[in-house]
Amino acid sequence: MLLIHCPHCGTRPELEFSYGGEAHIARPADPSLVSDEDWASYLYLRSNTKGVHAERWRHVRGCGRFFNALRDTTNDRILVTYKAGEKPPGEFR
Amino acid sequence: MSESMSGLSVASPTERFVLQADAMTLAAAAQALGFDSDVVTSEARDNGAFALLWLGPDERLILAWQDQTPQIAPRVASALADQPHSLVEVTHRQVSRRLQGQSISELLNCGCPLDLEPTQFPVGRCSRTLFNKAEIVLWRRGSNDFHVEIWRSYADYFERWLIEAAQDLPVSTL
Repeated sequence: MLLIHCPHCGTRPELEFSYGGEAHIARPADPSLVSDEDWASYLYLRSNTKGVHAERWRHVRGCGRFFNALRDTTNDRILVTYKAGEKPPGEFR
Repeated sequence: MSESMSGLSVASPTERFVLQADAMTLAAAAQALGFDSDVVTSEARDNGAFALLWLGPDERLILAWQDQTPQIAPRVASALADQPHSLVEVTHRQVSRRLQGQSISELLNCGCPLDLEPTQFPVGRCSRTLFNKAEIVLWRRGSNDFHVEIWRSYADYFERWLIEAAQDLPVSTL
């Protein structure tokens, strides 16, 4: 079983977590000013990275918090996790 | 069914509340309940009248042990006044079970994926987690003594799993 490090609770089994999609996607401040193409891109287009991918996870069966993780999609290894609203640690930027 | 088994018994808090608020408000509520300070991450404390369990950074489970009259809401009311918070009564949403005896952590590990070694999950630690498909709150009260909060409709599932799992373990208590 994968062990995932929750920034609030520590290292816990993967069964307690759920995946939350790509991280750091900001909702446009005023959607009415955004063109249809840009809005569709915001809603539907994701980077589908091969390699290190920033993504959201939720510790749904634990503290209930969303947080962010950098995961290498080629080997499923999670490099680092950090709290929602934060940027990735410096060495990973 | 459960009362007749020595390893698995019914714990009966008279009230249960979930409180969500910021850190200062949580600390004030903890003091209003008679605790010196708020609980820290994954900690649970019991002062005889109330138990305070950490569920998340801004979320606590409060249990009352005594009188049948409402205790928790009146006690924390002044601490919460004028502060944004959510105080929800969940008394009848869930039931409590007490698991005691030798090898009880091995028995729980038949359904719970947490590492229950005393170094990883010491006495006084609590956590929301899973027991197979059911969500539980697990609280270690002693080295061989666990308190489990489980939603009412899953209690039978939880007990039947334990009884079945106990057949494969040197557990004489179930």
